[in-house]
Amino acid sequence: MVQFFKKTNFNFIKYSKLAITISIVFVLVSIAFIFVHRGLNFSVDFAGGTLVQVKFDKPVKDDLGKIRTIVNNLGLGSPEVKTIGVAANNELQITVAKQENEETNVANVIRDAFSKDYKENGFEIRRVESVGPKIGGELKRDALIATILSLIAILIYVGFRFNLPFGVASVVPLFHDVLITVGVFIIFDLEISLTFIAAILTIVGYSLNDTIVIFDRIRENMRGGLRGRNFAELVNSSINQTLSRTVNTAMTTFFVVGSLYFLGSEAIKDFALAMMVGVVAGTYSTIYIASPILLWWNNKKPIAK
Amino acid sequence: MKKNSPLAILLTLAVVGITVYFLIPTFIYYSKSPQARETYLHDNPRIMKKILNLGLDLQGGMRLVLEIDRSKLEKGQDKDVLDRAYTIIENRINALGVAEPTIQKQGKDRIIVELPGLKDESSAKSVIGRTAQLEFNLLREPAQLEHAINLIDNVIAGKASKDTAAASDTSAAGEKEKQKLAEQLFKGSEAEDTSEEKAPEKTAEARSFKELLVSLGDQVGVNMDNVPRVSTILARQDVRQVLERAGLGGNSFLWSHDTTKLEGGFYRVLYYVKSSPEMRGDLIKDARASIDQSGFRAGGAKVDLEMNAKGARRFSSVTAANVNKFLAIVLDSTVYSAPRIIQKIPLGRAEITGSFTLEEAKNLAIVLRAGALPAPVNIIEERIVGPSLGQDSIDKGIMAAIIGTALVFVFMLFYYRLSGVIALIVLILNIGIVLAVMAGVNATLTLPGIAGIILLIGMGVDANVIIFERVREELGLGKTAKSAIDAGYSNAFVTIMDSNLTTLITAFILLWKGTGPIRGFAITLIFGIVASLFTALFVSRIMMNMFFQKSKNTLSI
Repeated sequence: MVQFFKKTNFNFIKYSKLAITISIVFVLVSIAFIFVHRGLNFSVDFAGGTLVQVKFDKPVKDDLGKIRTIVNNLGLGSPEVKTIGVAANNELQITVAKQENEETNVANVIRDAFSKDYKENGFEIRRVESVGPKIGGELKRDALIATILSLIAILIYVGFRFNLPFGVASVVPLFHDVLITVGVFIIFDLEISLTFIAAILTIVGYSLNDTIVIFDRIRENMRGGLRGRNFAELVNSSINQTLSRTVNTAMTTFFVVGSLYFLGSEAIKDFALAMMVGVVAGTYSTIYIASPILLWWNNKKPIAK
Repeated sequence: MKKNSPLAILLTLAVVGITVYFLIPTFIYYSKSPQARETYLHDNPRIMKKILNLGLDLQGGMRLVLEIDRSKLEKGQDKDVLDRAYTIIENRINALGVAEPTIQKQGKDRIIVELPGLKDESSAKSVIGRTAQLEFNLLREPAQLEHAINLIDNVIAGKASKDTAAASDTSAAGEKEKQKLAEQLFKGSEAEDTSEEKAPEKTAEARSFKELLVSLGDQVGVNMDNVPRVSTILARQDVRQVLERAGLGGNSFLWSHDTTKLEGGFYRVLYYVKSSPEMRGDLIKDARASIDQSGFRAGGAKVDLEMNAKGARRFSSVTAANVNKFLAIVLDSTVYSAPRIIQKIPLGRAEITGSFTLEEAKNLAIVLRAGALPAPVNIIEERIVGPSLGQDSIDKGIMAAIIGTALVFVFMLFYYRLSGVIALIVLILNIGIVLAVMAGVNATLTLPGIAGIILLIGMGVDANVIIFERVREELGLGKTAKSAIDAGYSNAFVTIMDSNLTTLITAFILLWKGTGPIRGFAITLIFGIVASLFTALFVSRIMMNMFFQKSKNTLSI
């Protein structure tokens, strides 16, 4: 039998204060980075504006300067031009901030400019996303509502299935996971888009799943074999008992989001990256944050249910 | 060990059977080449409702969100403005000829338009954004229509245009000719074959123009399948030149908005109208549908039309000059109705009656108001995906799924051995169920949806991991294989339920608050969770029992 953990008895609870300190420091650092990058990097979904993805026949690496000059002279402000994809180097993403004159058809303007001033390279416009500022604001609001609502719904569900301390102890780590994932995106100045929000809510689901499995074991042990023991010991043994499962599921999930990140299409890469961060954060928070909160709430005494 | 209950086995077999059944049409369709798909679609028109449809982000296309600009409306004009805008936009999109468009109203002032597989997105955008044009055009006499049809038919049949010019010049002979043609036209193809010269190498496309038409009294109808072909013929340069030379340049062919069901399918009416309109929609003050309260038409639906002062004068002279003729109500070059002018209408109040239902009368009233009142729309969101990008996303998604599954497979096999095989079979069934349910309810697979399925590969084994770990623990306590499996499943049950239900909560909120493709992600996630619950608790249990029937104290786990 292959087994990574044979009857372990790691003292997880002992390190929980250190772990929480590390998390708090990380969140503070990522908040500091908001100022470094002058705000969050919202995609056109949220900020409004137009994104045009252009694929050229030949690599454009050496012509980037020329392309930027062309794009900057279109009266569209100073759009951001960056290469996307890994290997070919012939695909560009041009992001135009929201325009005062919304009637302008940005994709057409760019198409005309390239066919006139950059004739040496054939191209195809593969994707256009244009979002008005009003919609952007609504999407932002909806995303926030969705995240908060799911946290409330979870608090109610867990509070009902277990009890209030378990509910609170399962929701706090979710805030942690969301903050850590957003933090990584802030520090590396990655784009916060609609798919990122989907990733955040999936992380919430995943991390909670993880927490519930351990809480379930704690509840079972309170009723059964380990009744009457010191609650800290009980929590610690429960974490150890479920450790194999925690690690194995994290691994299989990490395998698939990893292959999605390295092999999936451009539009899904940020989703996969957020998920990778989230799976690590979710696993870590279950062990080092959820269980200690439960413990402190109960003042190291077993709670009856 | 509990024996497998026949009910559980039956349920599993039923689910597997239904899964395969629902996946067959999708499999047949997508295993064909794009060209073969079109033919297949033509032979099986309802297949689209039975297969897994691809979202715009995967098959390419355009999605627009339009919003009514209420600031441009005067007070009192904003009543039913969304219905008016919807009618106008629906009409224009049908004119674009895109396959399977979706147009939905959202909230109080938004319309969402989705056009899959669209090639020319900038012209589509300008067509959709234009101001509505409502016009009233006189219908041409049936004889003129027949004459035009005859001329076109000659062009298509490859005859020299001088014959036709001669026919129209000598009016007496022309009349006679027309009579003969009318007979031919409405008698069907046999008459044609005898009277027409055999032209060599006629293609099926251009064999005969008349063959594409059927008689509908004074009008002609065209089967829905032939509408694009007829439109193409009417737009041909040579056809237009011939009509112009014959003095018919001031007339136009217009399609009816509604379709009529006849033997052999649905038909659109092809109207022949005078191109310059008698009057325009800005002369209309109001239009509303009602039910006749008295008279011999009591109980029938009608539309009451009210003109403004200028409109009343114009309408009075138009109706006086054209009694007994038909006046077509044309919105953006599509005929919605062509009532007959019964008498002169002097005071700007007209009544349109006919054999329509109240619903149809209401729709006509909306059309009339749509032309009268502006319904300015702005495009507030636009997403266009080119077909090559969509195909890229599919290819890359499949690749990621295969590699992801392979990694999970190797890990599970290495860690849980024979039980790992069970987890894998269950996993494949999971994915099958999700795709089958989506095909069955005609849901749409989006790029985030693919991500959802790939995620399911990783998270879906969780339930089995929980069970296997539990069984291992029970074995560690010295239980026999049989009781370890029993205890493992019953202890894992609550955990699996609780952990999956919480994930389900977030998935439902995502479905509720999400937009566009994100909803596609939520849908696959929801189906995935339900499927993995079912397979973990029923299917993997049954296989466990089968695989380890003879095991005593050890399990391949």
